[in-house]
Order: sequence, then structure tokens, then C-alpha cells
Amino acid sequence: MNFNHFDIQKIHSLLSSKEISAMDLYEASKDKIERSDDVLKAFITTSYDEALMQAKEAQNKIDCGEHTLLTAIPYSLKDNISTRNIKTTCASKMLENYVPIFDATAVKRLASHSPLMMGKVNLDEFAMGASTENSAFFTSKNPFDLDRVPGGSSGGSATSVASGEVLFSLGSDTGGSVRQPAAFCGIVGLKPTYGRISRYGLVAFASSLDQIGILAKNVSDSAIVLETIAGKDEMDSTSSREDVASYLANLNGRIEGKKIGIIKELVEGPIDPAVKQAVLDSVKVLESLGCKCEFVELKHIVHAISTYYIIAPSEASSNLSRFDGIKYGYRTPDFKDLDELYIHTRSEGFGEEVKRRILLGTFALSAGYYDQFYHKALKVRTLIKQDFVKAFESYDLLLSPTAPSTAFKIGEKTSDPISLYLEDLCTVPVSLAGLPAISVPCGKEKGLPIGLQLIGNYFDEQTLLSVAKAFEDATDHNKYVAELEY
Amino acid sequence: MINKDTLEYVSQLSRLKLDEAKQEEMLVSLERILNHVSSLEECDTKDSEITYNVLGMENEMREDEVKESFPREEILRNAPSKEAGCFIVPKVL
Repeated sequence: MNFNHFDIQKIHSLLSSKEISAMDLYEASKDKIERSDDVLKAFITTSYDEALMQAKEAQNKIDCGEHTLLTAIPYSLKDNISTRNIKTTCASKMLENYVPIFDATAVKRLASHSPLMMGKVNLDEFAMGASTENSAFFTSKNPFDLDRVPGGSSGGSATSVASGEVLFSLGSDTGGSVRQPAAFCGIVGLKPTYGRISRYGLVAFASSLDQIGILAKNVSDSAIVLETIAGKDEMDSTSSREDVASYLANLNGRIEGKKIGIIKELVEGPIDPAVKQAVLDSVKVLESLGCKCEFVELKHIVHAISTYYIIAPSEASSNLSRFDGIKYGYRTPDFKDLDELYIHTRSEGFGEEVKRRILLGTFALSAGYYDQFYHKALKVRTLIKQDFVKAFESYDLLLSPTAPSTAFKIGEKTSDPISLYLEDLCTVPVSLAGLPAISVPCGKEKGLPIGLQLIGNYFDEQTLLSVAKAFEDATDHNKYVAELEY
Repeated sequence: MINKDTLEYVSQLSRLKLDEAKQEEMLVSLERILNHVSSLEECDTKDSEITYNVLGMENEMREDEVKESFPREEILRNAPSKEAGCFIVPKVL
């Protein structure tokens, strides 16, 4: 059985008609992971035993007619999302042996439908990176070209979905970490509005930006997962009380008359010409569907990367101060006093990029530099947000490339952090504003997928998903993954 | 913008220690990043407020009532060193 030819709704109907069983899905996913993951390197930890129990539970539900769309669907979780009794490493030596005692709320909400959690997938250490090359364990591979990165930081999620090891994955997106790997791997990546999905159990990186997101093969599957996990959670005070719509049922394809703003600074910015062309071709498709598209200027977003690389490391330096070698995680064997315990633990436990961001954030927050860097960045953030708010007075959606290029080669950008930071050019402005956005496949260049980013207004995931679905139906770009063979 | 002394100071605040070779590398990369982010100076922010939270959320408090928490043994399960229901740390005083 090859998942790449099926989506969640199709599998649900096969389960309902008893043409396949939950056990078939479990076996198919396990076989696929066992056959291909030595090469693809998506999984840090597999959880076959737990998934087998879930499959049995799922089959009971099916037999009693109590199953839902997600019942028995194999999925993976980025390894910074907490799972009770299953290691959650954040791809860091610091948490190599850490076993959470609770489930993240998003995981709990999924679990009530009995999907099959096949395992925990790779990321850049603590979600800091755009390629999975910062993982303390290994680099995941892009299923379209094994010499290339899958993107990041949710690279393991993207690899596991695109290769058909699982049907969907939860990732996290702080500055583009769901959308960019989705673009690189030819799948759909959804980052909802900040606060849409509870972050309880997501290991914190930059709390004013972090949001759990969904990587799936198509828009409908993303809608199903979103409506299952979104909504207020008393364990996360930043989770929103805004109503959660029936996203799937409302995907009606009526998008005629929608006004879409093409973000000039991003489409005409330092973008690979093939990516730019694919985005402009997508505009023509949307116009043919009845959308009205025109260029819009968001003049402050040229400052987004600088703003982000002050705010995110500042918040990270505070969040990661909890790793002290005392309560959980790695502890150095070599110390004489408490200060040495802290210093050695942190210096041995964290990788280079994490250290760089802690140092950068600590610098930006330290006396003498606070106003010049951190305070300034918070003010520019306001201007960037206001540009978006103003644009949404005239447009239903905004549009840009997801990433400036297609997937780059492993090792190509490791020597220069700035070149990697620039990968986030198109995604970071949206994160700073806290808006929802989705990356959908919109073309290919030299065999590598290109992503189109659609950006919605606050809590209007429905319009975002509806337009993305209409675009997907009108094109065949989401079929790339179905052609992959392992 | 950042020199060796500042880096050592910031490392100390962060409870991180870089060996000599890494220190030089880190200094070069931080210098480059800070040069890049310094472009923010060109952005006029004199009329701009600061944004900590984009949705203007306010703290939400639950009722102050006793609720069940995780059992002590569970919390200690991941501790690298523990004894008699407590975390063990080196002598502080």
C-alpha cells in the first residue's frame, strides 16, 4: 500500500467500507519507515509499540462505527512536541534522554481520535535553523534529491510526509519552520494565526512567535487536522478563544471576487528567477479562478529579517535559561561548584547555532544595548504589523513566494549563518505579525518543488484554506509527491 | 560593535564557555549578524509603539483553587541527580 496515492478522506472511506483495516495502515507505515528511513533520516525515535496499540484501539472504534476522519491515520510529530513516555529530544544533546511526563495539548486532542503516532521526527536543534543541519544527531534528506536539505526546522516532518512514511505531521513555526520545509518538499504547510493552536507541550523557542503548524499532502488534510487541534486551552494562556470553524466542510471552492495583494517587496526581492516565475504563473491561475490580484507595497517588511533576528534570539536566550542540568536533561559529569555545573552543562549540551542565538539574544537584552537593539526591534515589529493590517483593509489575502529558492545542497550554507537566516525572508514578516499563512506547491525547477505562500487575515484560516484548495484543484503541483518512489 | 571582552561578558551572563578557537569564529559570525541587523537604525520609529504580543492579549488568570499536579516521583523522573524526593545540587553556600 502506497500512501502517496491516498489522502485522509480516501483512507477514511476505505476503512469505513472495510476494504482496509487500521492494522494495514500501521503495517504500511512501519514498512515504509523501515525501508526508507535509513536513507531519508526523518525519524529520531519510532514509536511502533504505541502505534500498534493505537491501531487496535482504532480498529475497535471502526468496528463500532465510532471512528472519525483521523482514526487510524499514521502521523509523525516534530521532536519538540511533548509526548508522554516517548522521548522528546529537540534534536539536542541537552534533551537526548528526556522523556516527558505529559502530552502536548495538540497531541492529546489528536489522540482522542485514535490516529497512529509512528514516531518523533528530526529538526534543527531547538527549532533553530532552516535545513535540519543543526540537528545534534543527523541531517534529514529531501525526498526529491537526497543531496539536498528538506528545509527546516521542521525538516523531518516534511520528509516523513513527502516520502509517504506518514500522512501528516505536526511541526512548529517560529519564523517559517513549517512553511519553508513544506515548500522544499512539495507538500502543504500551514502556520495558523498566533494563538490558534495551544502551545502547551511545545518546547519554547521564541514565545511571542512560536506556533504549532501542520504539514500534509493537500489542503483538505490540513483543514481536517487544524479543526481537530485548534481552539482555547486552559493550559496555554495565549491560546485564543476565537471560534474554530468547520474548515473542511467550508472548503466550498467559491473564491470568485477575492482580492489578493501580491507583496511587491518579496516577489521583486532577492528571489531565484524560477521561483519568481512560478509565483507569477500562480497569480494567473488565481485570476483565472476569478480572483483580483494586484501588487501591494509593504514598505517595512524589508526590515523583517533584522527585526526577527533580534526578537527571536532574545526570547530564546530567556527560554533556554531553564536548561541548567538540575531539573531534567543533560548534566555535565565535570564540575566543582554550582556555577561550573551550569556552565559546563550548557556548553557541552547545546550546539553551535543554539549557543550563537543565546549569545546574540543575551547581547541584545544586556544593559547598554537593550534600547539600540531589542527595544528598536519591538518598535519596528509594530510598523511591520501595521503594514499588514492596512493591506488587509483592501485585500482578502496576500501572496508571495514561500522561500527565495528551491532546496539547497547539504553543506551549501553551513559556513555562513546570515545566508541561512535569509532563507526566512518571505516567512518571517508573517510570523512577526502573527498572521496565518499556508505554503502550497506551485511549480518545479530542475526537479525541485517551489512553494507559494498565501497569507490570511487574523483568524481567517478559512479563506486561506479555501483559496489554497481552489488553487490546488486547478493545478497539478500537489501530485509531485505521488510520483516519488522508494 | 562586539569585541572579545563583550563576548566574554555575554558568555558569562549566558553561562556558556567557548574554547579559544570557537570564540574567534563566534565573534566573526556575531559581528556579521549585528552589522546586518543594525540596518534597523535606518527605520524611523519615533512615532511607533512597541509590540510584545501581536494580538494585544492580556494575562488570563484561572481561579485560585487547589488542583491536582504531577506526582513528585514523576517530576523527578528526568532529574540527573536526586535523593529522597529532592533534586541534588552542589553545595551553594
